[in-house]
Amino acid sequence: MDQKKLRQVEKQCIQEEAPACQSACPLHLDARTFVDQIAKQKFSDAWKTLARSLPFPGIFARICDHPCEKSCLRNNLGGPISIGALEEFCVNQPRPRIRTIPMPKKKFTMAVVGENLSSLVAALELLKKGYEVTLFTAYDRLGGTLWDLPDTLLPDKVVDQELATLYTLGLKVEKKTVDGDALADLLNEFSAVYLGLDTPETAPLVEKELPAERTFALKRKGLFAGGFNAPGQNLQSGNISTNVPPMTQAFQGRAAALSMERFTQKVSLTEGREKEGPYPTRLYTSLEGIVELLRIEPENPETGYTEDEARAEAERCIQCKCLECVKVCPYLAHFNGYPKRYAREIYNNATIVLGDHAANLMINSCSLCGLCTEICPENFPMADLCLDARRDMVENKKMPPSAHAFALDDMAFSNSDSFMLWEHAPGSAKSDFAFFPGCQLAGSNPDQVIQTYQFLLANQSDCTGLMLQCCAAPAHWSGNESKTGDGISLIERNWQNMGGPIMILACSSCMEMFKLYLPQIEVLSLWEVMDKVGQFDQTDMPGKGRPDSRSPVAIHDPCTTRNQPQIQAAARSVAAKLSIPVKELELSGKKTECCGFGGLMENANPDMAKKQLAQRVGESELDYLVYCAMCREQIRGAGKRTVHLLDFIFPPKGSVPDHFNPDPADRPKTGLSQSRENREGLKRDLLEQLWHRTEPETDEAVLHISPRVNEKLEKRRILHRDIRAAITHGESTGCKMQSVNNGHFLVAHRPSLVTFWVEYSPAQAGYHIHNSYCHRMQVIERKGTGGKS
Amino acid sequence: MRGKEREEKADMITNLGIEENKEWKCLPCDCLLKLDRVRIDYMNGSFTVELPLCPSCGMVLVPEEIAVGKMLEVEKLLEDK
Amino acid sequence: MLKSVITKALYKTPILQRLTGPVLRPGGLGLTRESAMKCGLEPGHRVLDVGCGYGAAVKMLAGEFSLLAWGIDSDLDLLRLNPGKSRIQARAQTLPFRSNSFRALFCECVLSLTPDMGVTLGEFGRVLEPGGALVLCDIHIREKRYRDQLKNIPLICGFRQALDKQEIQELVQGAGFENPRWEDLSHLLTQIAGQAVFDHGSLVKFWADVFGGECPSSLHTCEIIRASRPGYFRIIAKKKKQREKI
Repeated sequence: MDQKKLRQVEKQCIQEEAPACQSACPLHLDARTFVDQIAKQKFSDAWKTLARSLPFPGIFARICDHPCEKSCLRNNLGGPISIGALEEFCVNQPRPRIRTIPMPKKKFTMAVVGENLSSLVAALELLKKGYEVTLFTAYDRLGGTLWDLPDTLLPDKVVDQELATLYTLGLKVEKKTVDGDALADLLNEFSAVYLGLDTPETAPLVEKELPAERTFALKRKGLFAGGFNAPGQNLQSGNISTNVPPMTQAFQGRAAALSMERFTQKVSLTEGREKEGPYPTRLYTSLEGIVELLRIEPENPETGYTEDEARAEAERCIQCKCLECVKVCPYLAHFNGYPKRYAREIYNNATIVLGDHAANLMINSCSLCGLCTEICPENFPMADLCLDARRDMVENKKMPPSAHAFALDDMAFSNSDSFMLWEHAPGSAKSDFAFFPGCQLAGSNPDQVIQTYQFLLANQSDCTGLMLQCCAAPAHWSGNESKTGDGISLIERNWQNMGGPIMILACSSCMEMFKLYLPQIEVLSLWEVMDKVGQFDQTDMPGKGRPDSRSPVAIHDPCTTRNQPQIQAAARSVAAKLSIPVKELELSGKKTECCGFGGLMENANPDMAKKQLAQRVGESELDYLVYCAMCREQIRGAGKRTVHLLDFIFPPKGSVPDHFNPDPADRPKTGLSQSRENREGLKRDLLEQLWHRTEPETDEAVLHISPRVNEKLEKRRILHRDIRAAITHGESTGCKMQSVNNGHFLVAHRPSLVTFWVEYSPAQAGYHIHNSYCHRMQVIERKGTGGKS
Repeated sequence: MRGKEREEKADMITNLGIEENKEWKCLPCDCLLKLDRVRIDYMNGSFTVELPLCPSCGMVLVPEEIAVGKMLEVEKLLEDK
Repeated sequence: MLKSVITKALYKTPILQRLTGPVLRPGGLGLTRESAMKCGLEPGHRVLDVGCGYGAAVKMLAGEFSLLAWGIDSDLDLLRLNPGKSRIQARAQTLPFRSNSFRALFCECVLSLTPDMGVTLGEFGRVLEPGGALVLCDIHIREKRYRDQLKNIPLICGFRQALDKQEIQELVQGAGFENPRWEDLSHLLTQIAGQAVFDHGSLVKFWADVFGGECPSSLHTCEIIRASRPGYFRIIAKKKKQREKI
C-alpha cells in the first residue's frame, strides 16, 4: 500500500472529523471539548479552550450569536446544548492566565481601518502573527458599537480588559478619517490594508465592490475588506447594516488577516482553505439509545446559569463521536483505537501498544468478516487493509510461521490422498452436478456428508458426483497467494476431470472462494437446492433423537453469507419448512458477526476468538441454529447449545432404541484430531459403501487419553496422528527414554518443522498417553544417533 | 564452524535453570541423562544451552517447561522480525 | 523522571559479557574476522580498532592476519585487564595518530557511544589513508519516534543515541567516505536477545537483572528498546582518494 492509498483509506474513517457544533462554527471552536470541561467543572480548562479559538474571548463568549446550536444533534432530542449560555457562564468565572506567545517580529507593516469588531479582530490576528499594525479610526476609542451593548450583556470593564490585549501586543492607533486619497497613501505606505465594513465611515471606500469569497480581497492589490453581511447585500453607504452578526465580523476579520499575510508572503491566497468557515461535517454519530432530555434554562435569566445548572446542561451533551464499528466488533475495540489509527499503524508497521509483537498480531487477528465495512457510514475496508498487509508480510518473508501453520497443514491434509476424492455418482459415467461439502463439515459430521449426498442423488439429480478437498480458504486468509493459487488450480483440475459439473457447495466460505477465484464454475448453495427440492415430511420423523422442533432457536448466519442474502433466505425457508421457530439476532443477515474462525482468527489469536465468541453467544439466551459446520464447532465450543440445520434434516443415527439418544445440540465440539480422523474415515467409508472399493486398512493403535491431557493437546494443536507417528518412531527405532520412577517412555519425533514429544506407556490394547508437547527449535545432536530431534 | 569459533562459543553456555535430571534414562544405552552443552537452532539463530543428554549416544531431552517456556519465547522473538 | 545518579555502562556488566563474549558486542570475533577478509588486507598493513576493550580483536587481527594492529579505548578499566604496547587509552574523537596512517579502521558498536558521531567519523577519516577502509558496525533503530525516550535510558549503551539507517549513511558520507555499503546484520542482535531469554527467562527479566532487580527503569528500558525496533548493521566504506577541502 502506498502513501496515496493510505490517505484515501484513512479518509474513509470519520472518527477524527469535527463534531457538528465545531464545523458549524465559523471559528471552529471545539465546543464538544468545551462543554465536556464545563460538565467536569474544569472551568480554567474551559476558559483556555475558548481562548484557543475565540479572539477577545471575554467579549465573544458573551455576544456570540452561536450558529453552532442550530447544528447540535440534540435539536430534536430536547433542544440543542446551550453553548452560548455556557460560554457566558464560563467567562464569568475567574480568568486563568492565558499566555500568548508572540511570534517573531515580521518586517511587513499592516494598516487596519475602522474601530469595530472585524477591524479589531483583523488587527489582533496580525499582531499575534508578529506584524506591525496601525489602526485608523475617526473616533477617540476602539470598540465602536461594542460600547452600545447593555452592561448586563457586555460590561464596559470587560471591553476594556479584552481590548487591552491589542495595546499589549503593540498596536499603534491613529485618529484619522480615511478617505479615498488617504486610502491610496495607505496602500503605498503599508504592505496591506484592511477595511472594516462594519464601521459606517469605511463602507463608501469600497465603492459597492464586494470582497472576494474566501479571501476577502478587493480588486486593488493589497486591499482587503470584511465585516459585512452575506453576499448580495447592498453595500451603499447608509444601507450598511450594523447588524452584522458578531461571529461573521470575527470570522471575516480573521480570514482577511490570513489573506493579508499570504499576500505579503506572495503565496496562494486560496490554497488549503476549503475548511475555513462553516462546513457540513462528515462525522456520523448514532442517536440510538439517546434519551430525550429537555434543555435546562437558567432559573434567573438575568444572571445566567448557576454552577449546578451549567453542569447539568453540559452533561446533556452527547459528546458526538462515530466509533460505530468499534461498538460491534470486539477485535476493533481490543486495540483501543479506531480504523483510521489502525490504518496508519498498519502502514507504518508500528505498534500502538508497547508489547509483544502487537503489529503482526493486529494484522493477523482480523476475521476479515466485513461487518465494520457494512456498519461504517463510509464503508471503511478494514478486511482489505489486513489482508493486503498479510500478503505483504508473506511476500517479504515477515509472516511469523506459527500464526497460520496449523491451518495450512490442515489444508494440505485435506488435499492429500487421505481425504481428496472426486467421483462420478456410483454407476454413472458423468456428472451434471457435483457435491462439494468442504473439509469442515466432513470433519465435524462425516455421516451427514453421506446422508446429504444420498439425499441429493435421490431428490435433485442422480447425475451428481462428489468432490472432497479444501477450497483454499486457509491459504487465502493467511495472505499466501502462491498456496492459494495452488489450491485453486487443484480444484479447477479436478473439476475439469469431472467434466465441468455445476457445483453444489455446502459451505458459504467455500462459496466465497469459488466466486472470487473460479468465476467460470457455476455454483449453487446447498441450501438453495434443499429449499427447492426438499420435501420435509414431518409425519415420518422419529420422535427420539430429533432436536426439539418446538423450542425457538436463534439463527446465526455465517459471516461469508453477508453479501449472499439468497443463501440466508434459503436457509430460513428450509427451517420454516421444518417447522423450526426461528428468532433473529440483532446482528444478523447483512450485519451478522463472525464465529471467530474467519480470517484464521482462531489460529492466529485464540484469545481474540474467545472474546469474539463470548460476545456472540451472549446475545441471546436461546440455543443457536447454524448452517455452517465451522460456526457450529466454534459456537458449541464456547459453551452454547448449537444445532446445525442438517441435524434437523438428518436426525442422528439412533443406537439401541431405549438408550439415550443424544441431543445434537449437546454434542461437544469435535476436536482437531477427531476432525482429521473423521475426514480420513469419510473417504474410506464412501469408497467402501458407495463405490465398493476397499482400501487396505492400516491397523491403528488405540490411544487412551484422559480429558485433561486431551485439553492440553487441543490447546497445543497436537493431533493424535502426530502422537501415533512419534510412538511408531520410538518403537521401531528403539530411540526412546524411560523414567526410572514410573517406567513411562518418552520419545521425540521431528517429521518436518516441529518436534513432538510424547510420554506414554503400553496398555493392554494400544497406549496410555500421559503428556505431550512440541517445539519448533531444532536440537542439533553432536554424536551417535546421527538424528535430529 | 572453525575451531577457534567453537572455542569462543564454548564460553557462552547457558544454564537454563533446570535441575540435574534424575528421572529419565536413555533406554538403548541404559544410562541416566546428564546436563551438557547442546546446540539448538531456529531460523537465523543458533544457541548453546545446557540440556540433559545421554553421555553415551548423545540423545537429548528437551523438558516440557523449557519447550513451552523459554524456547517458545525465543521462537517468537526470532519470528517477529 | 528516570534519572539515575550513577550511570553504569551496559558493556561492563557481567550479564552482557556472558552473552557477547570478550568482544562485548554482537557478532563475536567471527564478525571482525569476516570484515577483515572483506577489506582485502595484506600482512604488514596497519589497522586500528577503535573501542578495543579487552583487545580480543586486536590480538586476532595481529595473530591471524599478520597485521600491525593497534587499539584504543577510553575505558582504562578494560585496558588495564589486558595491557599491551599496541593498546592505548584515548578518545575516539581525538585519535593520537598521524593523519593518513591506517589502512583500515574498525569501529564496532562504539560510534553510538561517542558524544558527536559526526566529529568522530571525521577523525576516522583523518587517520585513514586515502582509499583506506572504514568498517563500521553498530546498532540502528527502525522507529525514530522513540529517540527522545531512548536518550533518557539510565544506562550507557548503544541504544541511547542510536540513529536510523538514513541518518547514519548521511553522516558517513558527510565525513568524506564514498559508497558506503550497508549490510543488515540484525540477526546478530536477535541472537543475543534469544540468548538473553535463555539465560534469564525473558527480556523483561534480562533488563531487570541488568538493573539489579525489576524497577521502573528496567521496565521502561525494556519497552522502549523493544518499541524502537533496533537492528545491527555493518557499513564498509572507503575514504575518498582526493579529500575535499572543507
